[in-house]
Amino acid sequence: MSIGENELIRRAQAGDGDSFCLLAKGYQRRIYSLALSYCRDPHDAEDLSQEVWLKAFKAIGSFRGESSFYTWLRQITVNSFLNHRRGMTVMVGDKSTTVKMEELETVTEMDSSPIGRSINVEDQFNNRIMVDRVMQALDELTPQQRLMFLLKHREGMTYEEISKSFGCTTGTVKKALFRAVLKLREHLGINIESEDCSPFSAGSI
Amino acid sequence: MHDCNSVQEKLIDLVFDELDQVQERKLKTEINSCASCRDNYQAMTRTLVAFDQATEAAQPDESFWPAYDEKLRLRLAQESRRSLWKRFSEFKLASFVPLPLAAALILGVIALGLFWALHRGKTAIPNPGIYSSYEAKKDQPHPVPSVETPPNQNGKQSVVPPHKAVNKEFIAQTSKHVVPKPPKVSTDFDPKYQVVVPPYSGPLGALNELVIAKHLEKAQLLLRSFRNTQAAHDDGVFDIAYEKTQSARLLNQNIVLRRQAEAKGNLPTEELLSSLEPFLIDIANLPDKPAKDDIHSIKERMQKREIVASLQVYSAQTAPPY
Repeated sequence: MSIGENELIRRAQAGDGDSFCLLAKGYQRRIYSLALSYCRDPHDAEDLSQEVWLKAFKAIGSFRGESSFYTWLRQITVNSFLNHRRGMTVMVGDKSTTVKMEELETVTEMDSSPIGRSINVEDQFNNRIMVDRVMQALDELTPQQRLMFLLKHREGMTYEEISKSFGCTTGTVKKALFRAVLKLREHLGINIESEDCSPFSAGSI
Repeated sequence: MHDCNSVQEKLIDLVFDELDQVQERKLKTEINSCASCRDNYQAMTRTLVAFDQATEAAQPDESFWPAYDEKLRLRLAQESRRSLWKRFSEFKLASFVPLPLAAALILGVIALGLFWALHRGKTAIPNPGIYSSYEAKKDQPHPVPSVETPPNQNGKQSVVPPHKAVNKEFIAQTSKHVVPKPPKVSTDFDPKYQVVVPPYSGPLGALNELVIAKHLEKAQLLLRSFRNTQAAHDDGVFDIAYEKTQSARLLNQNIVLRRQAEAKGNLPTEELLSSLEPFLIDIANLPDKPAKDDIHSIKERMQKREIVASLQVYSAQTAPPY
């Protein structure tokens, strides 16, 4: 007999880790997918998504059921993502060094990683190029812009919900989305529009 | 009259489904009447479709998830243990037992602590790596000097034989405090790696959790950076100069903090710092041009021991809920 989500939440609130794992199972692919698009690195995405679950586990006592579990979880996800520092610059003596993060570059590397479902090498290669281009496009956005785009396109949140989450105006959200789509179009080579047709300036948030 | 700019502004609303049905129908009619707007609209939708395809292609296959689940389970178990330890350490005795009894118990604990500290002060063996200068002095035969007394009233100065002489230095040390003075950090290490830690506060002193949290955060960053190291060129040469320098720096601090955690009896922290230390030693001791196998063996051990995950759990524990 399967246990309902409310029962799993109740048990998790009482400290039952197994129930929390069952609860997580229902959403972990969605959170990982968001993390992967956000971090552009499978290892970081795994770490970040697990960090989200740890934070959710720690905070589940504060979940009152006023919203759906996923809405509550998504807010934790947004906060965790924005707090996540990636590729940060650290000081070694007098000189600053950028901590290197793995880049999605080689095809051979993919064979040993969990990424990729394609059947033949050519498909794999084409997918890889496409993934790489998308990741490059996302890389040119600020973390906020990237997350706004993911929340809108992947999560289907409204402008209003996103602006509340980030504490900004809906105009800012629209700008971020336009910039994200523009960057993706540039990198994917899909019919780049002329400059005078751009309704929004590509200013940062 | 058709205005391309006005349509462009609304295109983003259309592709992200932010228009009501009437607005959507009206806009689509207008788009269809202009080739440029239609192209733009199609390009936008094609872009989003391509993005979805790329996202789908980047997803891990099914074999990824059992390991992910297991890792999450382990982390949650670690988290639960840590929370238990935290609850225990924050346990307020006075709220459960009568005040006089609580006071008596606290006094008893202090007395035991003092006894232990006194005993430890006489027998403790400092860490050979860090406290080498201290140990070198300790191992030397302790001289019992003759003590010259100040001139007496007759102006004569007497010499007290060694067996009757009082070692003032010894008295000063034992009467002031029961714990030996903090030994200086050995200068065997490169001075540029000099550790900046709060003053040693003895076994009863408070452990600076902030310093530990910062240290572990730096270690986490270092290990992540190392984990993502790739050969810089086709010749398979790894550029790990930064990781080596940072490891050496963190190693010194790690040793000091581990000893402090041990003295404080903070077992989870001590355990974590102990498990981190071998990785710092190994990375710091890598040659300037390390072989691929050396790098991989460390990476494999990191993966196996899940050291980054453990550090992450610690960070999550010390950070606010979200």
